[in-house]
Amino acid sequence: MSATTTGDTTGDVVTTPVSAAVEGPTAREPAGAPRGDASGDSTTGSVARPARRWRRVGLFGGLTVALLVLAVVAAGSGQLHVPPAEVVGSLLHRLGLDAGTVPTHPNGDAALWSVRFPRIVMAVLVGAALATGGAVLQGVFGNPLAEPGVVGVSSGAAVGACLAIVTGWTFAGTWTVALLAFVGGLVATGVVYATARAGGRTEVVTLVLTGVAVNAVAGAAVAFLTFLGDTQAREQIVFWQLGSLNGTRWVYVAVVAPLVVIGVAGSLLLARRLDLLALGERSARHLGVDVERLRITAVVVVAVLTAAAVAFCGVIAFVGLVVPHLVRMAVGPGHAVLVPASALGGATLLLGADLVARTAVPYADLPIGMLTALVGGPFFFWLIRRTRASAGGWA
Amino acid sequence: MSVLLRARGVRLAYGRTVVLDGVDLDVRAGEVVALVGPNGAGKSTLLGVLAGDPRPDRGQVLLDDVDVRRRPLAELARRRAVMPQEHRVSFPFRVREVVAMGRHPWRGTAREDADERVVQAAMDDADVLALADRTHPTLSGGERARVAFARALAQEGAVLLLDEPTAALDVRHQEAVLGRARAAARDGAGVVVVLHDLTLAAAYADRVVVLDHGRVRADGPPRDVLTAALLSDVYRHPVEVVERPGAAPGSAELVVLPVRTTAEVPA
Repeated sequence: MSATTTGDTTGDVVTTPVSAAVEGPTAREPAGAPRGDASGDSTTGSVARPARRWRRVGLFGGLTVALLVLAVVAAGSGQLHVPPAEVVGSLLHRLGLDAGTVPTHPNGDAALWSVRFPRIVMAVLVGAALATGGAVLQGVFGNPLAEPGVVGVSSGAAVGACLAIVTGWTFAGTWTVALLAFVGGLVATGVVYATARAGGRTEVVTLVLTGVAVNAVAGAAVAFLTFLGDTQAREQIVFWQLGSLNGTRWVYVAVVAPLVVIGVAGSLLLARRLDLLALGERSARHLGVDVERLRITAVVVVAVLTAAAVAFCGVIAFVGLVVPHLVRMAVGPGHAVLVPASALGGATLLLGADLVARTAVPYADLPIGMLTALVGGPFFFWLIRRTRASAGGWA
Repeated sequence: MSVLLRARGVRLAYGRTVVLDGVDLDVRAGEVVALVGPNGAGKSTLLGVLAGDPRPDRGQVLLDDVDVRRRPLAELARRRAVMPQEHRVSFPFRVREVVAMGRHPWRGTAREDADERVVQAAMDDADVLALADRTHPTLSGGERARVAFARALAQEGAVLLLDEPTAALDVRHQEAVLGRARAAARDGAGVVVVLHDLTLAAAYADRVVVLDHGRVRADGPPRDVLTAALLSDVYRHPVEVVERPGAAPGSAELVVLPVRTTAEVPA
């Protein structure tokens, strides 16, 4: 029944001059909000205001500079110290430019090119993959807590990789581990996706519980594989599970790099449609998005990125959670900016974390997965508290 | 006027519950059609079927004489806009960004050039300009509804499907939203709006369609359809329909009021 007309039914209630209110909205101050001139702006048409645009420029600029500086510092740090100038010199010489000074230490150049540089490139790639994967997964689930590690995608990929380690399969050469990790990650994402979503949305509780279940099953599988493996495989699994960039070689980089490039490029192509997905599945559909296809593509992209990250470096948790969240706080949730900024931020974060892992304790290479969890865990707590307290929550 | 949207023999059941049963409906260019009826009558479901969401078990919906389920989604989105009943946005997008999402169907077309102007106008029409830089989670229910309305307007569809657009709105904005829907119809759009407030339906609709148990009980001009007898029967509550007192002669306005006994209202 109609519940809008309150008061008595004798009539005078409806004589209120409601029609006067009709004019109300037309008598507004003309176009109050200042407009951004953002022509060709990427997120949501030309809607950015100059302030946010400058933040965007600042973020990308700052992260790029930080990444470059960190890379040079990281390359020079370690048991064999190489001054920044010599690092740059060595790079320039390889590029055929006769500028700068080459490393003075007899093993300097070799250390840089066979140990440090591949590791740095790997850190950049894996960091970018993890953060981008997190951003896309969050977009698909419409939930800022979705992260490959939390949700169980990483452990699914881990099962695939462990399988390759224990069986010693090499049917796809150096790609075998990555391939099996991809399959494992894809299966896990599929399971989470199929169980955690209801009516196009994913409630936080369901998502986290699904993650618990997937992580438990994957954990059991990894335990079983560890049990099956010989001593060498066991040791390999244990260290690999801790997450480490130690022992990175160019051949591994050659496997991971194309996967990350494909994954990040794919994520960028999905960006605008992920924005629309924030309105809910039905509304996205009403705006012309083939939601089903978008989700399947996104799930594959996340599996590619996670497999790339996990294959050689193990499970490195929370990067996919922390980085997109910080980026959102800085420049807003539009995926066209969020995705590339997360890639850049993830690369910077992981490069920094790896530098700490290598140099914090002399003559020891700490597992980087431990470090990221050490920082990411408390961040996760803070995120839960903050999001619970703030208006709107997670919905 | 030409028929934009045509539903024929639409039947839809969820399991054994029949939600829509043999619904016929025409929406012509230039008219506002109000869908009314008690809770669970199938109003939102019908709106969804008109939008092309669930596939009806029987019957079909034609938009420009083509089955809506057969039209490519992107093309469909340039033809019809939908304002849903729920207005949730997963991430803290700004109001201006949310409204601009309504322009997505026009990406890559010549009309993309008008994006900024259309978004601005839509926000003005829905009275959300002052909220442009607020993030969506900080809005009240009514404000969210107006943002969703602005987004639907920005889409510039020839068919506008509004699911309870006024439910969360204050009086001023209720009138403004339906006034804007009328203006869209005057410009040639076909508008279908689900309403609970029958007086609003009487004031703004060219036609009122009364749904009851998934069937069309009545379909016609407000004055023919909104009768005390029919409404009392459909809503299973006594309803009075009166002329608005003091209205100018000739501009007769209907007022639909539920009958209340003294026991139900404060003395």
